[in-house]
Amino acid sequence: MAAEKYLMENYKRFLLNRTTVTPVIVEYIENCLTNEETANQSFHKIMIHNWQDSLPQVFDVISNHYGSSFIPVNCTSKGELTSFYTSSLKLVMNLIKFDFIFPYSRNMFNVDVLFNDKTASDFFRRVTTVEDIVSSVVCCRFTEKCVLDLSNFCEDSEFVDNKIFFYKLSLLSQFKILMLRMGRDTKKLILRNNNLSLAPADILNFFIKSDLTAIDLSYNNIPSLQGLHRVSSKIERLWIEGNPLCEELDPITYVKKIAIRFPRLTELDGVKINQHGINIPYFRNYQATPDKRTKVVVEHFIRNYFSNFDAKKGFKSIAPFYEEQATLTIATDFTDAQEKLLQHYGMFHRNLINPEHNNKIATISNYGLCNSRAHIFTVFSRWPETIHDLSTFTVDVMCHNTAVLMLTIDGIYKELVSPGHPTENIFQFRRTFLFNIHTENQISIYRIQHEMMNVRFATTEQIRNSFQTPIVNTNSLTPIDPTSEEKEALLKVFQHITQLKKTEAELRLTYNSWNIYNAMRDFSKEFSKNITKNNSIQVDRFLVEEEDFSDCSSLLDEID
Amino acid sequence: MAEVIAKNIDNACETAEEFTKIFYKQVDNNRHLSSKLYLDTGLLVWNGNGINGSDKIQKFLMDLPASNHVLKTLDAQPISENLVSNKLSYLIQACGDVSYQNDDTKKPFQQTFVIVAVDGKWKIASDCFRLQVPYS
Repeated sequence: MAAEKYLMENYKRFLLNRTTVTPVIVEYIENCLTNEETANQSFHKIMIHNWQDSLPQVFDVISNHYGSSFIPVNCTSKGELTSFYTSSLKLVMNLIKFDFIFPYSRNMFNVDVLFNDKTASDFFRRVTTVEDIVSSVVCCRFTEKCVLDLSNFCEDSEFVDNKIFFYKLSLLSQFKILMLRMGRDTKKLILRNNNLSLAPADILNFFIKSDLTAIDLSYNNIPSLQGLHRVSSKIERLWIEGNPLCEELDPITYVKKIAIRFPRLTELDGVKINQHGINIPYFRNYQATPDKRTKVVVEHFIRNYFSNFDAKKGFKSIAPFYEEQATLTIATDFTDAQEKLLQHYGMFHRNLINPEHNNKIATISNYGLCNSRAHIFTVFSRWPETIHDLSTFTVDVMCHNTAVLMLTIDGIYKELVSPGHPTENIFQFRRTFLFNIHTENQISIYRIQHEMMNVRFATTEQIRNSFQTPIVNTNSLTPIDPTSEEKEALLKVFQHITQLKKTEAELRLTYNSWNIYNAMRDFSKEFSKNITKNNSIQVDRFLVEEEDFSDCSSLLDEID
Repeated sequence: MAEVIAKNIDNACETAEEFTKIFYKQVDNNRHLSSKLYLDTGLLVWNGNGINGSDKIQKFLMDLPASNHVLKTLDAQPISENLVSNKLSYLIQACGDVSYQNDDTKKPFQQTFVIVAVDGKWKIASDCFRLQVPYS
């Protein structure tokens, strides 16, 4: 140890190149390599002559050529001399082996080494190593919620302050033990803002076996989804916006393209997507008040209103959306001939400027105005069955405060063939809703005070682009892709009613695709048989008080 | 009471006709004057792009290619007072076809206004315009 230290002093600031290298120093370095503790403390200046390209480029070339990657410190590029420091003796050793030269784009470059030039405390003002600093930065970025936030990692202030040039994220793959540990625990990995030019397979490999379900790759330079396939099967939430692969794609193609690769994806760029991997575009199309509360209210309204509107039950279910004294007007540009075929609009529509109906203007005030909930109900109940294509909807929220919400929805709907409605027609509509908001006991109640509706025949272009995707009836009681909390809640209710054991209850719910009504129906059918005949549902499927359990099972043995 | 309501609706409809006549004329021919049609705090949402304030709205509209709007339907309702502002306000919904200078095809559009009476003049509090063309 003492001898080594002596030698270390001896070789302090030793200029190492092709002419000065000796077998003694090679032997010394080889010795040091076996004793990393002391070796990592001293830094060697690597000097390259006439380098024209960028710094990251020279690091990539050197680490590839000499087969050892390193994290450079205190890099400078002055005139013809490019230099950096490293504590990697392996690199120095390989430089010696390869005669201090490396090729790059048809040129040979010479390297000089100023051996043992500085120590860790010269750079970091304390006894530490680059590796320790990197490890501590990574550990600091791991949160209690199992999120590993490596966003803008290379620019971390700790690196900048210590002049550590962490020139690319994949340098992290050297830190095998650290990354394996991170890989084991991380559930969400954030890699945003790292100037990545492809999905970093060498980093992601550490996360293959983990419970990683969310990954944020947004605001990088990634042109394709290649390299993500190894983790893709488990990913539920993905952020990928701000990458070249998103450009020149309309929202629907974008979602489809990505959803195909990620079978479990439920959220893309912070937007929830449904079972068919298609998001509902209205979510991202309104601007005026894009806060979370508005989103929740608007989404709820649209889902509930239009699924009830389209449901066969008629319009009873939409009546509660309206105030008692709500007003509704419907305007259309139908000609007289069209009107004859569309009798249900009949006398309930109006138009101030339709030239063919000029005579109506005089009495417009009384004409086609619905001014009560009952009246609105009458109008809509004359309509045939409809299907609204939510994927064509655009929504603008013009105003949302504590007293009023103003909402404009444009979209496409279809009237189905039914008795009295011989043809199927596709229309475009605009509906503007003005809601009154009452707050009672901190609960806000939204009711429609005014509605204006505008209906026109859809253009051929609109027809071509609508009803492309399966329409999900969101009104049915089957939860789409229920989360574990939703399942837990359903289970609890189902168990409470039926007193079944958890496994049995879960089995029955799963069988009925988590539709609690169907599960209840099946159960009650079988249960009534139980009373009349017995044993269609076995006794051991039911919940039993803990202390009675043994008795019960012995009882069952007897029965068997 | 019913007569008062009917009168209000008649007024709304008449106002809507006059107002939209002026509005589309200005937008098609004298767009540099369009800021006068909006409240200082007016809001325009144009195909999903929100623009606040009459000056910004005018600047935005000036950047659009020359247009020709043809109205097909028009409808109006008086809004219950205190709902949007404390002044008399009307909700107007218009639809029609528009063609732009750089593109000869007629495109369907829908537009909804909230107008309020300020010192005897009608001004737009909010304006929601969308071309009815598929987004996908």
